Amino acid sequence: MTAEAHPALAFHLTGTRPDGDASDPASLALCPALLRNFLDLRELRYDYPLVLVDTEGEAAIDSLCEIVNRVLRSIAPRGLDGERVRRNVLAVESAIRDLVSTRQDLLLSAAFDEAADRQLARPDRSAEDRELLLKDIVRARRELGADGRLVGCGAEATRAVVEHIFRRVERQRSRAAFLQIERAIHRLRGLLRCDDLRSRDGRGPTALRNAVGTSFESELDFDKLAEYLPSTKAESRLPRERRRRIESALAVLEGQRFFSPDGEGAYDFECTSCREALDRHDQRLPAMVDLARAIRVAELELDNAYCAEIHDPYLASFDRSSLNSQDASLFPAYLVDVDGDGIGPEEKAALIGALSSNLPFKILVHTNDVFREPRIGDDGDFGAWNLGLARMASGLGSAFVVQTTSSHVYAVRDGIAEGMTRRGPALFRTAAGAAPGHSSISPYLVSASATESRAFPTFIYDPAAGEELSGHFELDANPQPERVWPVSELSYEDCDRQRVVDDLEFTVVDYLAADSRYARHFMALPAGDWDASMVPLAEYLGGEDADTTGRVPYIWMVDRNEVLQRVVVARGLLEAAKRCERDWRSLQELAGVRTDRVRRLIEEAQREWEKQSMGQGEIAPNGADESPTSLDSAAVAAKAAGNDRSPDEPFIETVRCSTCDECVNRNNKMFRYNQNKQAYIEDLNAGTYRQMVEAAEACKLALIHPGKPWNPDEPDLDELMRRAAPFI
Amino acid sequence: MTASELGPSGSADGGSPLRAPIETVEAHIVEVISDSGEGAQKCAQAFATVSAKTGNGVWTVEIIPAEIQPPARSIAGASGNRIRIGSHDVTNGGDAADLILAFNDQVLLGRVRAGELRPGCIVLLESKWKDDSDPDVAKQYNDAIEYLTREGYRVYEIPIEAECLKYVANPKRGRNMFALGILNSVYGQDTELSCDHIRYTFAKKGDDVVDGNIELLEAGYRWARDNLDIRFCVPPSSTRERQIVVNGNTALGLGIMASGMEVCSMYPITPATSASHYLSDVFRKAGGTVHQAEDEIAACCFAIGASYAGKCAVTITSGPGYSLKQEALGLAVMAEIPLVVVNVQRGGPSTGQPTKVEQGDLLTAVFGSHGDAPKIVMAAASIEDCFYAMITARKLAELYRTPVIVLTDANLATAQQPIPRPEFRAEWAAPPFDQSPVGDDSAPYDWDPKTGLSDRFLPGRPSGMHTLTGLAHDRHSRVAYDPEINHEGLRRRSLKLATFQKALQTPRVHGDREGDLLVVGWGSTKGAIEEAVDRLRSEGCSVSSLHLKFLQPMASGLGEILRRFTRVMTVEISWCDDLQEEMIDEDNRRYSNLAWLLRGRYLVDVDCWSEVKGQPIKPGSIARAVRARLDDLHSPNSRVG
Amino acid sequence: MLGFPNQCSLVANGERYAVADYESGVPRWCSGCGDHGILGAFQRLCRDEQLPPEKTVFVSGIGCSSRFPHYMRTYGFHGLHGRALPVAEGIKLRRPDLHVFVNTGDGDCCSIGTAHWIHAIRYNMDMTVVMHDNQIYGLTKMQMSPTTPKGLKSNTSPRGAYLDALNPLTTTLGVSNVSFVAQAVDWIPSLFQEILSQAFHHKGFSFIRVLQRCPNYLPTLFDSMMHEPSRTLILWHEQGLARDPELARVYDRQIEHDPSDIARARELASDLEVAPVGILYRNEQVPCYEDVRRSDQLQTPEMIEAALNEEFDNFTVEPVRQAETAEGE
Repeated sequence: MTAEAHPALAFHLTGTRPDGDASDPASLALCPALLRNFLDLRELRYDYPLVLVDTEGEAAIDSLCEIVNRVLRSIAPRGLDGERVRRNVLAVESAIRDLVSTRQDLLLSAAFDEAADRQLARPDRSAEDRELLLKDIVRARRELGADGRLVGCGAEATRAVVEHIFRRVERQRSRAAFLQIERAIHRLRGLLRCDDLRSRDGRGPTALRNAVGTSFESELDFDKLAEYLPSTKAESRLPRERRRRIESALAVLEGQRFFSPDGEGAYDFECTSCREALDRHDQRLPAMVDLARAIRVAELELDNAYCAEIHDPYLASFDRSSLNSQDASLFPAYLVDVDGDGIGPEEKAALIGALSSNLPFKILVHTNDVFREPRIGDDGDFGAWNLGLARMASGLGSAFVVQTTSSHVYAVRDGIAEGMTRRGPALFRTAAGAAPGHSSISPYLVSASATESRAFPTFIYDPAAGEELSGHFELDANPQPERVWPVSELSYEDCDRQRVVDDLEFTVVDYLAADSRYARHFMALPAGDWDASMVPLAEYLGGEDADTTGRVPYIWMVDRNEVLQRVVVARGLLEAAKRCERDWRSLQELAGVRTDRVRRLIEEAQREWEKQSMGQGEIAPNGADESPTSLDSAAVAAKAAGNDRSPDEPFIETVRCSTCDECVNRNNKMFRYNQNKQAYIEDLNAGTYRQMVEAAEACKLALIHPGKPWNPDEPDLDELMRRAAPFI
Repeated sequence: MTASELGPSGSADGGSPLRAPIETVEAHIVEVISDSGEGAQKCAQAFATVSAKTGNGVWTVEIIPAEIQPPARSIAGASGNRIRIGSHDVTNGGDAADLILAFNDQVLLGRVRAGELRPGCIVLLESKWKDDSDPDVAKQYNDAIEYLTREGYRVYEIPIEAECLKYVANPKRGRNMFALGILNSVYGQDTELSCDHIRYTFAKKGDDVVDGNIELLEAGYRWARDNLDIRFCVPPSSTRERQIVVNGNTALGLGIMASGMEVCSMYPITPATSASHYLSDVFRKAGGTVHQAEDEIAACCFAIGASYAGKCAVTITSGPGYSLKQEALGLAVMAEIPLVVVNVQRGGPSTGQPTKVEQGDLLTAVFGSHGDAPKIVMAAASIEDCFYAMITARKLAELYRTPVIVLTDANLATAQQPIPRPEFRAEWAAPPFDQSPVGDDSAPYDWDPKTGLSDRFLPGRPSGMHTLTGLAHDRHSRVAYDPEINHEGLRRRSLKLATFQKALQTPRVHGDREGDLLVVGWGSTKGAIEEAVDRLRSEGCSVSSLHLKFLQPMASGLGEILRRFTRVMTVEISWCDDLQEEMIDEDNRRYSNLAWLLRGRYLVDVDCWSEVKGQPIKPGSIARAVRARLDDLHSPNSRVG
Repeated sequence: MLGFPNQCSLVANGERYAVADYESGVPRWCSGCGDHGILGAFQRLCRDEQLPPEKTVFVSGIGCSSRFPHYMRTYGFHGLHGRALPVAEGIKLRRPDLHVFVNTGDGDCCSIGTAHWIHAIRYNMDMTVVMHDNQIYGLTKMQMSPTTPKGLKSNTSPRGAYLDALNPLTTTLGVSNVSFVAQAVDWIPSLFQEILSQAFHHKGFSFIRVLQRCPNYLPTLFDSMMHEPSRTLILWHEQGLARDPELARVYDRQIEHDPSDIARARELASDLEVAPVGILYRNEQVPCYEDVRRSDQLQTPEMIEAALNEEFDNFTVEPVRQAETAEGE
């Protein structure tokens, strides 16, 4: 079997192609078949560009596409002119997209106006058409809503979105904390002022004169007024060290620089490495400890709950170790923007340290590439660390994790916001999909296909979402999460002009085929050389038991003139594809996604269980209420008492006692109230059977059952027994 | 020719030069009246503000018809203001008007009949009625002109409407601005001040209204300059620090804000409600809340609840409301809950005269509520007092754990006067309420043995738990079953008042420290009494006056003052029988409120005189009455006082 | 405070309040009086909720029931006849931190205090109001009250009360802003306890009418209801009272009633033969007056000064130095 006879198999096995043969996808400018329809983004509507909204109370991140939909819903009526309005506004939208593709500093309002002018200025518009367009534009402009900065898809945009959400959440937290501290300061000052007013000069003539209206000063003799005021007792004044404690706590609260009314504290909480963040945190720790201590003192003093024996030692030994998770949630969080492509070993350690602490470190790790072939000297397989970072972080148990490609940032914006708001550490692992310049398709498409092809799945891990682990993972942002590879329809014409619609998996290899750096692993094969040994890649991968001997995996690609080509994949690349598939399956299991394999297992178990249970017969359904009949009062009481008590033993249905004092007033030794203030029989010997019977008769609810006399030599027992009969 | 005479902004069209010389006067009383809704009040208030800005003392009195919308051109339907401007502080509305500008002859006759115009008073009358389409109206007008001239009034007929029609289509709207222009010209005032006032007042109505009004103002100014031969100058007073022009009710609202009280609980009642209107607008800025309750009793109980659990609260009402609150005030006295109660007195009894002034509630304030319920009772004597009384009342209420009643009246409520702009002091504001734990052996009513004073147990103070009650109770607020405890409670609460009395200064006598006659007053009559006394003293009479701000308790030293005068009388707007009456003698004569108190307290045969006509008493009337008492004193067969 | 949930706070007073910690003095009600039961229920509520005594205020008017505050070791306000509600509103407006309860009788609330009762419902301030309805004036020795059944003889209706009784439940359910109406009977303590607890947790004006025995003047008034279980209709619902099979042994008539259904509640409330016991109506959406009026600004002297000066500026008259007065040509 020679290379010429089976060029495909040879290339697949050895990765070498006949020399001089430019059959790699880059030189042939091939594009993965399923991506063909998305090449020209200008015609398409998708999340980007995004709008970073500042106005309070509005959502932090909005999408131009969503905004336009909302506008159209409110101004575009049904019918023909509705169509016109829709067409005009969508034209403006795509004009905005063009603007954003080149400029990153545009405000939505400004971009809308510029795009509108462009549309109006188009020469091919009739005057009447232009006039209608202007009307639609004006109406749309009014409905635009909250303004904000526009960001296109790309590394800068992803960073900007995450930072924007961080700052919004932190501003809100800082304002809320500031208001709380302001309130505490106000009440502590009030405490001191109350004490001053009880002091001697607080009640002295000068203070009294100042406290009275000017035009009445001449009416009063303030020395006499002060003289007769009762001198406040010493102990009603604040003890000296309590006042000192309040004053020092007040000083700390007033001097704090973590929070401010506009939400911008004095410290900078944004850094570019975990190391730097940890250092800054350590530097600020003493100030945090002081503030946390002062808050505790304030809370205790304002609740009049400070007692020296317990709290003095506690506060004296109060240090960084005493800070708990509530403190962590009070103090501002840190945003650490780590360049994923350049993480050194020391930063990796700091990263893990930060994620496993309970400190509020919000760490953004962004990489352009998702994949990179391992190079000698590289510490471990770059791909594994990068891909695995997010899953590893989720393993730490305390960190909130969001992994997303730039394209899917909008889809998981709520997850990002939750990660920012939540107490404790959070990891935001983002990837652009591929370093720029290596791919013929647009950055958005590269990024989207990274998620589509499971190369870089988008998921959220929330450690606090319910008990089971599966509840913590959320994979909804990935297409068809229950499948290994997502399937899309590919429609094409076969050689005899028949239209064919095929379901085609989009695998990680299809994604890599668009990247020129991996072109050498692919070889396009002219139709003539196609033979039976060639098999679609997904099928070739098809799980562990697939028989791959002598089979050649290929993927579909399209050339410039729309002709489908089979492209053989070299074995070297399949290793990476298998690992990617394995990672995705484990993610599915972690997220409790009912993959078909899992479904099969469940069905088997169910069949097993039914077979087994048929043998034991019916399980009785749960008990039904018996229906009591209506009875008169004494009988009612007896019925209620239940029949487990012997009739001759006196007792009270304590749980139904309405505390009416009738029995307790008769003999408070024999009848007592329990800790629920409901009567019970305390001591029979402390009373007579007569009292018991009288009590039974007096009790309106007939809760007292006298039973049989316990002291035979009491007078006229039989008459009492007769009276006791209805209450037995 | 000074710039201001050229008329506003130099747009004079070279009209004929002024003919009459300018007459300088010490003070002048001006009235502007019309049918209600024709803007006489807006014109008058603008004139008052401009006069104050020119440096004059000012006092305005509202002229209000009884009904909301009386029929047009009805004698009793006059609506407008009296504005008294002077070179020095003006403290009351004075006697009779020196100049009156009337929009129709009927309302003018109303003022003549009420004796409100000085003989020879200048009358500026809208002349459009002269040839009115309705012959009766024209006849009424001409008859009035003839009557007024005959009576010696200096009548000027002014074609206000005709002039206004040159500038606006609907003169009804702008006529009062034309009138303002006339007054500015007559009193030599800079019209730019009026323009500022118009811009501020009509800002909400838009530029065209403002410009229209200014145009009419200048037209009025020019017309008067060219056609009237009367010109006055009231020189401004010398020292001028910054002032605010407010009426008494607004001053109450500002005072409540300054006092740091956080709850004002009220129920709508004339004439007190305008204080709550103002407060509802601005109290929020000072951290306060105005609560309108479902009725007067609820308003008082709500305030008691708020006071009991936090800072002292205030409730504002008038006579009828004060009567309804009596039981609740008794509870506040018995349970010693601080409370400020403002009673803006009005004509009584019963519904009486809601918009009119009277001082008939003093005895109710001092002795009101069944049983022995001692309260501090104060009375504001000026607009300035209305502001400072709130601060003082709050402090005294909290110091002495008692309700403090502040009496004002309809006169103070609506009168406007420039007063020195108060400088806020932090001590005015009520301190935060005390939530510190209570000492073990102390009690909710730890009455100081000598003074009856004690510290409050506010809810929230640990181990201070007790049940406040209106029942007679002991120092632990436990219901008293043995007679001793009730006695002790009454004694302690009375001691508190005696203790406060010790801290009162003897008020200053206005005039010589002794003499033939002492006139004693309280409340809003201070200005009129002192003006009358000054007049009489300038005529050589030996008369002085004394004005009380604290009515319960009253300051020590008053007895000595009364005994230094041969005769003592009170002047109050509250009914007293006249000895001249055939049926009245010493055994059945009923005295005015304060007279009773002074007679009872100091065993001095205090006489009293009053005019209870719903109007502020004029200094002239007081002077006449006092002069009569003096003549009576010196005549040989005077009755032994 | 400061967003610290209290289980983290270091408040040292570890010991829990027991029922006895809320008792104060010996109640001076007749023995057998329903007020004892209501007192016991409130003391159990305070213990269950561990309410700090100093942060709890019981407000009452005048009458047997209104002696209530004297027997609770919390702050109490034993006020004027019929005027408990406005006092409670005044307390609540300035002190939302205090737990405010009101005890009022049928005369106190539905006769002299009617105006305040109607408006208190409309204000919907956050407080729990228990109306002890013994359907007679007890303290003043047996006069008929608005809820006294027609024909019942009393010192002021010796030949029988003239008119049909007023129905406090339908009246309350008829006022706008009503947010919580329940009826209890003092002889079924377990139900009353549950109703009281739900009333306490309801944010708003919780009105509970309690049919309360007066053994001294109307010893047999409620006998037929107590001994014919069919005359008591217990309302259960997963949003209202839970089903109690134990109680069903005695009081078998139990129906499911959704507390948000005001029409059905009014229907049930107007049935004079069968007394509904449970939560008749509850609506958590009705705004509370103290929230509507509250401003979260902290009143400081500086704030007052600023507000005052801003107002003074509106009225200030700057003295205009008149260059030269108008005299002389």
